Amino acid sequence: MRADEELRAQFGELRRADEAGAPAFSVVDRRRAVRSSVAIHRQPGTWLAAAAAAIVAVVATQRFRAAHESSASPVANWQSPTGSLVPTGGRTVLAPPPLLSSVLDGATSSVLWHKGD
Amino acid sequence: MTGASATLISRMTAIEPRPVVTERSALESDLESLHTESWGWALSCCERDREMAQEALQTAYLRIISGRARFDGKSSFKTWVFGVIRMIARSERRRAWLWSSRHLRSDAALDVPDSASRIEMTLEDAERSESLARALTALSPRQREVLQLVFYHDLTIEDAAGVMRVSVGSARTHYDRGKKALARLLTLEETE
Repeated sequence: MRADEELRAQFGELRRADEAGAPAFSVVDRRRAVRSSVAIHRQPGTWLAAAAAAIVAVVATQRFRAAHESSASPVANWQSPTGSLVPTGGRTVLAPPPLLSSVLDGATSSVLWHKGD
Repeated sequence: MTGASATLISRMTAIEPRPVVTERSALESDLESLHTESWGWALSCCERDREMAQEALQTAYLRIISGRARFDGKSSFKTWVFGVIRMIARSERRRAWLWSSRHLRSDAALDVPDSASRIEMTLEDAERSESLARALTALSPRQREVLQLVFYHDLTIEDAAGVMRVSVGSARTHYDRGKKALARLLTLEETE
């Protein structure tokens, strides 16, 4: 197995070669500075775009809701499509029963009429 | 309040912002003194891809100087900077992998020291460092990292464990296995 010293020497050679080909600190740092300034300048734009998108979303939602509400009619005005075919209108059916009457009113009255005849 | 004390207060107020500037430039000079080492470490973390290493190093400097990465003094400055570079290089590698898997890029970007950097080296030395660079890329990332930190950057295994964020025992295992694997690979390189 290779001795540590031999490995260390080989790594030392690699290190010297890397150091010779290393970019200068000023180059890396200058590019860093450019990137940071770009990031700073980009920030207001990003914020503006986000704000504009939020406004557009809110306006679109409100418009959609308003259009939807205007097209929808209240339930009280609803009429059955086949309501005109039935002699008793929808309103009569849905109307509450009179206070002094019974569900058997129709049946009893018809019987009485027969007797009276 | 006397005139002298008023003058003293105004002078103190005038020089108050200066420590911030000094601190910032001290940080930059610390980074500069560590730059060649950081470059070697970034190269290793980026599997010797020069472009990626430069990108990772810039991002690391940006985070350190802007204060997004803060030195807490729990380790040495070098160990901390190496940890930051390692973390950023990992995300750069992940991003590059995603990009290449999308674009099916197949060109390997292994950077072996070029002829320009070989001027001061003998041909034999250059070949040895090239074969070492190739052998290192064949190791597992953890093995490569620990060997690079110990043999290239002269860190102890304990410090290397700190940079790699693993336990000392785990770092020692990677070190032993990595050394054996590297010796085997280098022997193979020599026989070919």
